[in-house]
Amino acid sequence: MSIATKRFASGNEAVIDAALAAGCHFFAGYPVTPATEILEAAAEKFPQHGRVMVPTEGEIAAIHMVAGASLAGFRAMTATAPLGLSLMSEALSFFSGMTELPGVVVVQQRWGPGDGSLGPGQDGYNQATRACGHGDFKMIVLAPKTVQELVDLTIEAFDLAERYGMFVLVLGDQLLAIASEQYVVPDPAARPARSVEFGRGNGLVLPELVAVDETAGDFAALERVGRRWEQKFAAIERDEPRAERCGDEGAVDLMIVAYGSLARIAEYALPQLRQLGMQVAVVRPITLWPFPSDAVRSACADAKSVVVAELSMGQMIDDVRGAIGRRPDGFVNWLGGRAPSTEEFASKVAERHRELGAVR
Amino acid sequence: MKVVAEPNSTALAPHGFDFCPGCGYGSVLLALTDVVAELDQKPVFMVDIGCVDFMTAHMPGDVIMGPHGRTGALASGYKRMQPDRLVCAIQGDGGFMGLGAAESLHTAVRGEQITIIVLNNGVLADTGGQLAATTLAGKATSTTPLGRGPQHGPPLPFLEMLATLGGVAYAERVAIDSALGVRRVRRAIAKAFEVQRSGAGLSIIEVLSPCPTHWRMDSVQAWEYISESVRTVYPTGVLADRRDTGDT
Ligand SMILES: Cc1ncc(C[n+]2csc(CCOP(=O)(O)OP(=O)(O)O)c2C)c(N)n1
Ligand code: SF4
Ligand SMILES: [Mg+2]
Repeated sequence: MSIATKRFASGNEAVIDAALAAGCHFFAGYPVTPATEILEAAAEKFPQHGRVMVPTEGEIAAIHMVAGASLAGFRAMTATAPLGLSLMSEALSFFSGMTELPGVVVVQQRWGPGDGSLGPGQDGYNQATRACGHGDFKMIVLAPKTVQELVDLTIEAFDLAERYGMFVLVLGDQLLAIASEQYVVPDPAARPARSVEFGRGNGLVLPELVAVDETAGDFAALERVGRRWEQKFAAIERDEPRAERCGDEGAVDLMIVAYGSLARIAEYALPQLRQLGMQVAVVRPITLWPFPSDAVRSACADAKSVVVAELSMGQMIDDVRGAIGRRPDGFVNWLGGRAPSTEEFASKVAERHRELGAVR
Repeated sequence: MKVVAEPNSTALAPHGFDFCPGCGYGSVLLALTDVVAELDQKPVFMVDIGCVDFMTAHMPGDVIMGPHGRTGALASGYKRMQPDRLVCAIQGDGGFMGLGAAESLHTAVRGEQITIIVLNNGVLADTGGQLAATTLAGKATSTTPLGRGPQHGPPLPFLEMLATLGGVAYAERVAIDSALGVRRVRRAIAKAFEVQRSGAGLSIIEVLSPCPTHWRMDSVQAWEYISESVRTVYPTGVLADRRDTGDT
């Protein structure tokens, strides 16, 4: 039985405690705000626990090394920001999509295209959930709202990655990266390599698609591989969606849909919104892919109005729209790498809600 | 080292090879197969994308194909976690020196304990024979129909650059332009695995390999082109050997 320790540290440091607890034996990465301290924590702690940490020349090498370590049978991870994820996309398509290797990438979002800003953002949503990189594939995307949840979901990400044979993304943001909170984490646990076929010398050719292609150019066989993947993704969509609702029960005046740090701000803003005389709740997707459509639909079903809140120009809103079958009534957002205070959040949402009342 | 006088290619590839007639890659594959037969363990192979993929079905060991150019990084990650395995990356010149130059360079900088076989055929062959970093000056390709000119820069002496790095324990360039050359390929690959086993650092073998198809030559002309032209720009021989000295 593993023993748990109570710690107080930043989200970024907590990620590495979680990785050690999960039996992650390999970390490779390249610094980028706001994920750099994850790399630094790995550099400090991985060797202390007999694990391997490689600071690479960039994100491309990092993700390929992670894939190599995973191919060797070990739990492996990297951490980055959306701009690093852009560089990793090619490899994720190959190794998660095509080769079905397990792995974990923690992505702390900062806002903006290009180099963007250094502050919090949620505009990596489409990049993460639509499977960054080319081709028909999906990756599970987990979105924690607290440091404790960042720890728990990072540990779980390794299990999910192995269960489904894919990379799992833990999508945080700059607030979660730097926030220091108390959390409980199991103590570091060593984990033997999982049993892998590769390396036994039986002439195995990976990825499967290459092997099929190589032997026969057999398109029916290629499609069978595609169909197997399709079924895998369908099973995940059936079994893994997760969401949480908090606030007032039953039919509310206002249902806020938000995830990650912004959902937490929304939850803190609930008392202020109630003071304005409304029944209000937050529904928070925890898995961004698979999107918890059923949970969001039922939460929004008898709400008088539905407002989506994001630190982006509107990315998750498309999934909400798909889930509830109509355009959400309102949208509030913050751009530029800035997140609102609870007061600001409450007043902006209340204002939007009033406008909605006015049009109705 | 056993020298196989008549490589039994039908045993290797009962349905035949996909290489064009006169391609050097088949010789590299046979050499590799011979060398592996003498080893006490089968290496794992990481192959780049390119005509090297025609080898995957016949490789003497398990093989994984990864993204174009990044093979060194993939192989490094594997080796770090399986230090007792022999790990061999096989890449074309386009992948190794062009698209994946950064990954190749830093694999060398770190002195990863792997072996890389670079197949230098002077073109991006798999996509139809376009300009590569290694195309000789004046040589026409499908993207330099008038020949490689000054605007494309001179051919890249990447192995010479890598040979200056302390992490590179062994670097040798060999050429497939004669029967003797083929034997040297075999010897160099065997040496590279020895170096890998010794833990001295990265071992790289660059093979000057004929691509008659995209050079628009017959097989004999292609061998002659290597002897008379390619080897004047890319001299064969041992470029780095830091096995004993620990010299950096
Ligand atoms: C990112 C990416 N860009 C382009 C390609 C297309 N492509 C496949 S093989 C190849 C060239 C390979 O040249 P080289 O590495 O020299 O190998 P060769 O075919 O000559 O053996 C290219 C450009 C690719 N697979 N991936
Ligand atoms: S195109 Fe060139 S490198 Fe490719 S198989 Fe044919 S001869 Fe060999
Ligand atoms: Mg080439």
